[in-house]
Amino acid sequence: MGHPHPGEDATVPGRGAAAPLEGIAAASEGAAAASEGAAVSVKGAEVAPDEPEPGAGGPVSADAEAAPQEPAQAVARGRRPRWPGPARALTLVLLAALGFGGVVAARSADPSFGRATADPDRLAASLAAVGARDRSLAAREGRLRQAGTGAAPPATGVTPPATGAPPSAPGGAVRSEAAQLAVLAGTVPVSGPGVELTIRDPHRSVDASVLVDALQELRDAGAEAIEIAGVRAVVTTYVADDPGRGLIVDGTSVSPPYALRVVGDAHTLDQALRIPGGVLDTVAARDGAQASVRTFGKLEIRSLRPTPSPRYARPAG
Amino acid sequence: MIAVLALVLGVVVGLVLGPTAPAWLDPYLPVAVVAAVDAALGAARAGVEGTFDDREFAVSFLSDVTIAVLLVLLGELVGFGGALSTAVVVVLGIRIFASATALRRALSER
Repeated sequence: MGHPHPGEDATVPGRGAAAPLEGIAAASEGAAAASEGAAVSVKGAEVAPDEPEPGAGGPVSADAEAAPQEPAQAVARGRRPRWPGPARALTLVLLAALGFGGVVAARSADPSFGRATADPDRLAASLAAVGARDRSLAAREGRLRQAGTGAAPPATGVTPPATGAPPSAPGGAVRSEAAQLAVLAGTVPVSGPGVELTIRDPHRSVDASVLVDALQELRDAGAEAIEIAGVRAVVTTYVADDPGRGLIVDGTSVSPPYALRVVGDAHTLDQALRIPGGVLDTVAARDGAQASVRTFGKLEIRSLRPTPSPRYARPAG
Repeated sequence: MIAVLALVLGVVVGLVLGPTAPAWLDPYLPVAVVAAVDAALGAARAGVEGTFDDREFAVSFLSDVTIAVLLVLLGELVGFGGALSTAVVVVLGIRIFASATALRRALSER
């Protein structure tokens, strides 16, 4: 670790000669040796001043004379020879490396680049934020597509609210959209990849909030159809406590173990449930409760909902 | 002047290439950068005072960076965690201020 201190120069012999201009090779090695006495406990330091070869500015020989800079600085004040070529090039390379390293460090410190070192809770939070953003963008994409191409169905799994397709829409598109809405409304059986979450709760310590959280987590993770203990979950689904017996899901009393069958990207759903501080951890923190997840390449949800028939709301526009 | 250009070139290359440091470098890179800034500022000061030498700059730059990184590594090995890197940054920060003061004084005396 070396750097110039103003006071140190005066203590070093060999100083005081006029400093040669940088870039001029003044060839008087002897003066450098006088200042060697100030070099502190660095082996090989005594070799450095006698190096005659022009390549001495390179990093290898620089290591050999790894003396603190205080005496070396004084040497420079004396009549130390200079090899402006390679040494100056090395200086410039080091400065460029500093700039480069600074940029890299700044980018690494940027929270949006935080990766493996971030703790799981923050990762979970950012995952949730990304998921929310993804869904809002997908919904927006759906709206824009509808606005742009009439009744063309949205490309994503997220279907915008059923504001009614324009009558001029092609029949195929309308049927496809109707099928998607039927999946969302829970009026048709569905099958696809997914997971099954089983919550065993012998002491009735899992309350409705756990299941609501689980439902939310699954939706965040892109669940497209959910069945809670035999009840098809849709947008209006609620979960309430039924003290002493278990839970009430959409008016149906259910008791543990609760099986949640979910169709969606199995890996994503699995990860969403297992995330630290997530559903599995929450359940495990309850007295005697246990949760397990199994993934399925193909899973069927057969429970249905009656077709909703709104009495008041009519598609506008 | 050309030194500043080299620095700017490094920054530009960093921005253009946009690399991300591997994760294991995360604890060391900031300290290394601060040590390098210290060395560069010391060099600027030496340049203003007319005592700059390329070889000593190279030596002090490399050894400062190496020692700073080794200290942080040592801190992690013996279980200080980030404490030793904080210490290194504080010391380097003091030195940077000292260099900056000397630089300013040298410039104002001109």
